[in-house]
Amino acid sequence: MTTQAIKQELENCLEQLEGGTLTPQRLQQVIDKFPKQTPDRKQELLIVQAKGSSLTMELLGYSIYRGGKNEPSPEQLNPHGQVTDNASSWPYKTVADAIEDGWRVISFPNSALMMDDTTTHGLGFEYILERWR
Amino acid sequence: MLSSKHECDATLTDSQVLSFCQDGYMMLESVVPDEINQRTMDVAEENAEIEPVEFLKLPWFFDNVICNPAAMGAIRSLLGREFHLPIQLTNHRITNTSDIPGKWHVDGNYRFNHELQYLQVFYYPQDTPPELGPTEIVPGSHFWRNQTRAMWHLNHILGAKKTSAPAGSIFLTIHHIWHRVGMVRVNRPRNLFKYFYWRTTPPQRDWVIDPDFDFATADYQGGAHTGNPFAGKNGEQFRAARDAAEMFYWLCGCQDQFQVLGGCAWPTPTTRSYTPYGFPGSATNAPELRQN
Repeated sequence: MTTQAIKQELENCLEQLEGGTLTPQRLQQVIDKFPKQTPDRKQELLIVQAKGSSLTMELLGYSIYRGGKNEPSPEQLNPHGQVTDNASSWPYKTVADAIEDGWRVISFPNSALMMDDTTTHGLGFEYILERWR
Repeated sequence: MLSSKHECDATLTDSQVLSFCQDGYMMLESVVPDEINQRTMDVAEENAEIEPVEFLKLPWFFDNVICNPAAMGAIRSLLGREFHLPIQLTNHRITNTSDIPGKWHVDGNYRFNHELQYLQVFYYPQDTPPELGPTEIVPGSHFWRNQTRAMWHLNHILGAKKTSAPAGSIFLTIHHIWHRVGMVRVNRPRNLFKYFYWRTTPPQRDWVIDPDFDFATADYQGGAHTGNPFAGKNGEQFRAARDAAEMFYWLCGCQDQFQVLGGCAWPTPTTRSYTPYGFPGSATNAPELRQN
């Protein structure tokens, strides 16, 4: 149920209240329409490592966590998959692609960690994105 | 008492040594005879310990795997004369299938620098196709300083590679290369033996000298154009060339000559008309750098 739909329902209830026709059953009907916190809706995390701090930089790596578990990709589950990671089968090429597909950035990479250029640490600039399914 | 040190002829060329510096690994396919592979599998069935050090006392295993001639020539090239043989051995044996990707890591007790003081070596006694979960590695990642504890959320990595190989294959790695167990998707045992060799003498360029190898114009950057998957380029621009060149110079025993003057100076990969600025030597004497 969208925010706009909820507003419309409550405005209808207000009109009924002013007209003396609002009943407990009608109010319960509206309450029942609110989104439920169902246990089968889980947070999904997309953790990506980009080559630079721009949202449009090439990705160097990614993981998807569903229900707290690192989810293998179909090619990893394929008994005969070579899985030499050349990115051609990856779901997104950039962070911007993931955002376009509905993922929401919840953590931006901390560039302060990348400032020592005498050594190379880690695997690029790490973003964490989420969505609920 | 089996020998603790080994001496033999070096077999790698300049270009092969430099490639190893860039990639951090080298695969030697089917170098162990089939009969030895089968005997190894049979013993591994009876001794499924994770550290079956008894293997080191078996002469047939010691001679054909630990002192495998093809592997010895490569190791001699990288670790110098009278290198030290393994004192311990692990079998990463897997008997169950997996639905969860392995965890990327570097093995502990690492020493992040450009010195190649020891090698981590693996041996597959059975055919190890993709479905049997061969170790996955990230070529070029041995120059990325990281802690295993900060790597366990990673999964897909650009340039990662499965070490699928036929039975009897041995592959050499620089200890702190990023690696993980592959997902085993078929129900049969996978054995993977791992052991270490150490340098006991100072490094020098005493492998197979290629008279045409030119220190001034060699491709220190490496990359996909060499035919190898390569993730080293994922770091800061040209960093991979500097790292590989420094390790190569250290192996040549002339790290004291190694220098980085910055910009497009040597060893940055670029098109040049003359001897690269900053090259530690002249173009004419480059091939003779510390040749022994």
